[in-house]
Amino acid sequence: MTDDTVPSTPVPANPVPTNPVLTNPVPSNLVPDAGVASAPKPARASGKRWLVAALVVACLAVVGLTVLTSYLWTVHEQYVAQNQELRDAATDLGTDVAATRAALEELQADLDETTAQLDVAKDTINGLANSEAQAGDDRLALIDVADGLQECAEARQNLIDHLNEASRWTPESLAASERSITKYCDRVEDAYDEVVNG
Amino acid sequence: MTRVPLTAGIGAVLVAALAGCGILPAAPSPVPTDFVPSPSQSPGEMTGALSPDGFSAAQRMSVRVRNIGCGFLATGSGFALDEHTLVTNKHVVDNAKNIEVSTYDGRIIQATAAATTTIADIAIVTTEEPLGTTHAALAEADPAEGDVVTIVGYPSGGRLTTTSGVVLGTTTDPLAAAAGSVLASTAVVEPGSSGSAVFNAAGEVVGVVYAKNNSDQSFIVPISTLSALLDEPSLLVPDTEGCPS
Repeated sequence: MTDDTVPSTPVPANPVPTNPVLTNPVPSNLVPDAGVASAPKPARASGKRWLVAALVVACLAVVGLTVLTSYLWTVHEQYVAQNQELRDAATDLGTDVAATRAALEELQADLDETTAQLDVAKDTINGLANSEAQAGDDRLALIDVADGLQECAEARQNLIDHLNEASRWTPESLAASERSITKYCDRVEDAYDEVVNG
Repeated sequence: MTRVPLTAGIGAVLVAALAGCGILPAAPSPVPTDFVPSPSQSPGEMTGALSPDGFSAAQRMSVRVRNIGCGFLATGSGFALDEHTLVTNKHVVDNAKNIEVSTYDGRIIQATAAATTTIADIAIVTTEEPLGTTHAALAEADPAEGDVVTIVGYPSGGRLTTTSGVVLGTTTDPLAAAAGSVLASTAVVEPGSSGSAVFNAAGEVVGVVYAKNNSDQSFIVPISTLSALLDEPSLLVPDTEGCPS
C-alpha cells in the first residue's frame, strides 16, 4: 500500500540539527547526588554527632549541678554557722541588756532617792540661810533698839540733872524737854516691842 | 552544617549556667566586730539636770542685800555680775551706813562700795570677798511682749523664791524717776524683791525688778538700760555712806 501524500524523501517538520548542542551537559567528573544515591550513610553520622553533643551537654550539666550543689551546700553551712554565731551574740547581748537594765533601774531608784534628799537639803539650806539672815536682821534691830534705849536713858538722866537744878531753867523748857524725851523713849519702846514680838 | 548547632547548644548551656550564677545566694558577709554603739545622752546633759548643790544658776547668783541705815534696816535683792560686783536697786542702798550681802547658802559678805545713777533705779555694789562662782549672763536684747520671765529674789526679806510671769510690754516709769522706758510684767513681787534679776527662758538676765503696783504688776529696768550703764561707768556716781544730816 502506497500513500501519495507520503513523500519519497521525507522531510522532518522539525529538522534535527546535525550538530546538536546539549542544553544540560553533564561533566564527566561529577559526584552523584548523595541525597539520591548515598542518603542512608550521612544520617547515621549526624545522629552520632547529636548523641555526642547530648553526652557532652549531659556531662557538663552533671558537672555544673555538682558544682552548684557544692556551692549551695557550702553557703548553707556558712549561713548556719553565722546564724549560730549571731544567735550566741544576741543571747549574750540580751543578757547584758537585761543586767544593764536592772542596774539602770537600781541607779534610777538611787537617783530618785538622792534627788529627794537633795531637795530636802536644798530646802534646809534655804531655810537656814533665811534663819541666819532674819537673825542678823533681828540682831541689828536689837542693837539699834539698845542704842535707842541707851540714848533714852542718857536723855532721862540729863533731864534729871536739869530737874535737880530746876531753878536754872524755865518750867516750860523743862516740860518741853520732858515731852520730847518721853516721845523719843516711847518710839524706842515701840521699836523694841516690834523687834521682840514681831 | 552540624557543628554550628552543637557549638550553639553547648554555648547555650554554658551561658545559661553562667547566667544562673547571678541568682545564686552569696556567702554571708563576716559579722562586724568593730561596731561601737553611740553613747546615749548623759544624765548631766538632760533637761533639769542636777546642779552641784541642787540650786540653779539663777539661785546661786542671787543675793539678799541688807541696808543698815540711819535708824532703819531695809532689805532687798540683787545678783552677782562677777566675783566681786553685784547689781541691785538704788533705793535698796540709799542712805546706808553699812551694806551686807547674804548669799543663797547663808554666807554674809560686807560691801565695800556702792555706785548709783540718776537715770535708772540701779546700783552697782562691790564686795571684798567673792560672791561665788556663778555670775549673770546678760541678754543681748530686751524681752518682747509676751515673753515668759522668771524672777529670783528675796521677797519681804524672806526665803529665796522663784516666780514667773509674762512681759506686758514697755511703759513709762510709774515712779517718774527713770529716764527711759521700763518693762511691766505679770510676775508677782513684794517689797524686798527690789533688785532681783529677771531671767528669760535661756537663763539670761533681761532686767532688774524695781517696783510693783496695786494690780500686782511688777516693773523692770530693761537689760538695755543696765548694759548702757555698765558700758558708760561715768554715769555711775559713788554713793557716799553716812547718815543724812
